[in-house]
Amino acid sequence: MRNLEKQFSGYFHTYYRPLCLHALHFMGNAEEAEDIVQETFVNLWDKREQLETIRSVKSYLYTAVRNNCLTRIRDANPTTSLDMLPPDELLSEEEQVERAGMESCIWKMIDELPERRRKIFLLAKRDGISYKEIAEQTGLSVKTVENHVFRAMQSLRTKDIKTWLFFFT
Amino acid sequence: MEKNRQDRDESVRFVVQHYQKGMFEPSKGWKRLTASLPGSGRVRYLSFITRAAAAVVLLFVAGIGVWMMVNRPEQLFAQVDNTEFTLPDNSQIVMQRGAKLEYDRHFGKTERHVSMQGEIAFAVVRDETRPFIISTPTARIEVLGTEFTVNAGDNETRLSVTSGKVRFTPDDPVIPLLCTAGMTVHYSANTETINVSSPGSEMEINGKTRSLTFDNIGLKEIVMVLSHFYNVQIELPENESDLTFSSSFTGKSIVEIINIINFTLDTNIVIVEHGGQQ
Repeated sequence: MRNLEKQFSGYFHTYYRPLCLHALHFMGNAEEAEDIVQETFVNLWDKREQLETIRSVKSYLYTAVRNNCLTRIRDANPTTSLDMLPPDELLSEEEQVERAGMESCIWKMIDELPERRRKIFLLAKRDGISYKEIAEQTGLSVKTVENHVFRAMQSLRTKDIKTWLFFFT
Repeated sequence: MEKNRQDRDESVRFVVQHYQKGMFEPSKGWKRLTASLPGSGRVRYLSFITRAAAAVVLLFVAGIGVWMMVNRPEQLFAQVDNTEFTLPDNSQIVMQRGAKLEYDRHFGKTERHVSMQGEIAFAVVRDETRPFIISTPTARIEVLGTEFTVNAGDNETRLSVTSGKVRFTPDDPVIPLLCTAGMTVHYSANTETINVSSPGSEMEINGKTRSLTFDNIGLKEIVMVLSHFYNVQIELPENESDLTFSSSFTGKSIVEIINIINFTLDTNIVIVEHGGQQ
């Protein structure tokens, strides 16, 4: 029993974030994506006794998250056919899993940016605010703002991600 | 390679678009999950996530022998005998090994409510505006400020009063008993038996066999017990309330019992109003 819990907790901590990103591609909304992943783990918890018999828990989780997303979309909008879903899914399942891993990694890297840099970077790239406006808001020079954004971008593109992916996905 | 680069940029763009600080955080997600797991979510959470943390904490408080679980409601669990603890209202408790006490964050707002199991001695700080209430699996104990010990198992509750006054109410039959210094109460839910004893007097109430035993018990107390036991309103003349009475009744009606008391003590107790059943 204790072992099962440990195993379950291990899967959770390893796959939680990538699965959230996987779900985000279907749902387009972070809160909903997270809800679905939570729900998926609750279901897995109910089946924990069978954990040993699942050949690949990782694929099981990705597939379950996808199915739960599709179910939710269908229930929310009963007249949409599933063919109408985002064209995203030209990617093979494997590619989707790989992408989720990479994006989870990027997410974490944003988390780990120095706070000031992260804020400026998000203002520019997520909120679409111009360098000039950010400079005015923060009292920094435009050059400095530009520099922060550039550096942030650079760290997100770093090559390390390959190694990271190798170990964690 | 070029494609990889493109994918990467696409992914960066996607993530940045949706990024919110603190979201998708496995540790937070884990907390949420364990809180929502069906059934014993919280307990499970305590048992396997905080196990490590608890072990550390335990090292620190092992001397005190109490470890408080971090989440509300506050839960105290005594690892060793004579574990002392001070409640938020400064009331002191001494817990015996295996005793549990729980109170939530509303403790002390309008009343001081705790639930407990096992053996715990209380020295309750007097505060008439906020009664101190203890729930055990089988009874409820109310005090204003006094010293007493409660020993509560799944099916029974024992109370002994050191000083002051305590109101003890078993769950079935519901009879509020006013207990004073030197008194002990033993209530067994299985047999529905309440035994109240103090030096020189004893009372036993059995809800199953419908029997009552009074040995040198004050009339005031007897009338109180009878009125709840038979669900009637009984009037006891003021000047007779200090008398005491001894006898044993099984399967008698309330009218018979009152007649016997009146006959024996030459008193004038009357039944004012009949409640539902007899």
